[in-house]
Amino acid sequence: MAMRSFGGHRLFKGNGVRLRRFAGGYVVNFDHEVSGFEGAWATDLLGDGLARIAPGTINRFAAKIGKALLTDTPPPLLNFGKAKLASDGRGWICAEVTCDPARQWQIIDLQIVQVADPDHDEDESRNAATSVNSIGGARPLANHRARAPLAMLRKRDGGGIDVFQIAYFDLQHSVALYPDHTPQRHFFW
Amino acid sequence: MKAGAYPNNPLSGRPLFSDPVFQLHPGKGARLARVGRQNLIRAVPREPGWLHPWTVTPLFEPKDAAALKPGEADSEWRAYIEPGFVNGREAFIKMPPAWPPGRKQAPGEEPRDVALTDEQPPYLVIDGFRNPLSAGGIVEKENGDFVVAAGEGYPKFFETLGVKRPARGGDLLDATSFDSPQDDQRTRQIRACDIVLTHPRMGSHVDFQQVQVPLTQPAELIGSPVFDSSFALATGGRSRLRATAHFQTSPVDSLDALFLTLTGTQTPQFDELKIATIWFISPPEALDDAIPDGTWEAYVQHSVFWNLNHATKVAPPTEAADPVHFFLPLAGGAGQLAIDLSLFVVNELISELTSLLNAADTNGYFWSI
Repeated sequence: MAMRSFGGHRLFKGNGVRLRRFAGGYVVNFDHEVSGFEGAWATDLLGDGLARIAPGTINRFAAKIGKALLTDTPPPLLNFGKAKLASDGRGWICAEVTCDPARQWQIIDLQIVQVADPDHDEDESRNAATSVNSIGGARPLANHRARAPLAMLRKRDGGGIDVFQIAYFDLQHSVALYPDHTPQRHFFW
Repeated sequence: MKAGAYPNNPLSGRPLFSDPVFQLHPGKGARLARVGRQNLIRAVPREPGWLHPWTVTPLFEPKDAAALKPGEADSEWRAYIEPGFVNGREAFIKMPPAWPPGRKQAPGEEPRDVALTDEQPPYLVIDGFRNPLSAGGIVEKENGDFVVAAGEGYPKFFETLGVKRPARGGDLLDATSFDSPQDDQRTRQIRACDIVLTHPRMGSHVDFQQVQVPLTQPAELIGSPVFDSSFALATGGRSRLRATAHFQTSPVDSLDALFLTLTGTQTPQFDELKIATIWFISPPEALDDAIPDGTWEAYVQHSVFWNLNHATKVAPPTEAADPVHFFLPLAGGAGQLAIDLSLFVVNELISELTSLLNAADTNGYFWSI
């Protein structure tokens, strides 16, 4: 490592660092490119109600938008139009699993959807007891479905929408059942 | 050299940090964060790049001048936290009604929850620190002797920075048991605080009722689990972050937790998880009772790097379960001896009690996704 020494203090240059001296002192430059991280399910908003979601799997079952796999070329885009948002301006991009109770609740379909609430369907009525999920897991939905949040949408005062990534890796899924074999909770990990 | 004093440029005689020859300027891809007066200049990329969920960034920042009270320090340590999610929902921090500065607060307004995803992100004020160098108190050994517990200590990394050794502990009658061993090469103080996530959930307890029966018949105790989501409903199910000097908790499956359920005491309606520990390192030769200020440097030790899911061990049944009946031995009646000797009866009771406790165990678990 190259070193500058002055007044009893020493500066050590690390990897990717350049020191340039001038009359006013030293300028510190970095050569490193800013690196990001894009895992599975990475969500980008493209404007006009369109989103691109990186491929991902649940129990190795590949996700789709409609009939198109996320791994298709070109990859499909999620066209959700006007974002469905809750009263607090939040919405979610979710992976929605459909399971088959006759086949040990195996996943038979995996769709990417945009919803206002991962734990409730739009037309579902709520009460105080069901509005908050106090036992965790994913709440079972009608027709043997459940949703894993992948990204959260947040509407800003200026009207724009920001996206916050939640899931970064392929997931596993399982269902906990009541004694009468109805679904109690869905787990994603 | 006194702690906190500016070193001088021996050539010019001026303090180094005001000497133009020594000035450091940020160039391409760099941002200089000058912390303290020692060799604590950090260069970070202009664009921070990707930060993992729950990334903690401690900063020493000035307070709102308009809200300062006489005698109050004008700056404080704050922890900014990158948005993190539990079950797909972001965590919140409770902020005072007068935040952000300039906000008009309603009369009697309480502190309110502010989401980590808000455009003006909230922060935790770090005003409580623990001292890992201090002796851990007086403890009793198995043989009944009392000894001084050693200091908590810190990660080995900080030894290379010249942090003092923790108190070694030992004999209660030896005064040096409470002190840090002297080392002229290691004169820096260290303090710590923990960032903790609290997630509300359903709570539970077991309701026991004793049935009054004639003396000639066995007494009967009826136990049934009771579930309560009042806290989760009141908080809207929001996870919250807080800063605390030292986070300690009993394991979920500990005897303490089961005892609470057994005695009918409500189990807490939340679970907690340590997100990170912030270690504060002083300049050399800081005083033993020094409190972290702008001359100290902060290092974050993260415990969580990804978003989380959470669930309770059990979910309440859809229909109320039949209560469990415990028949206590006859009060001085015949058959008492036979009942006492019957291991089968005892095992049955234990098995039923264990099942009852497990059916009411709503302690929860976190896992990362």
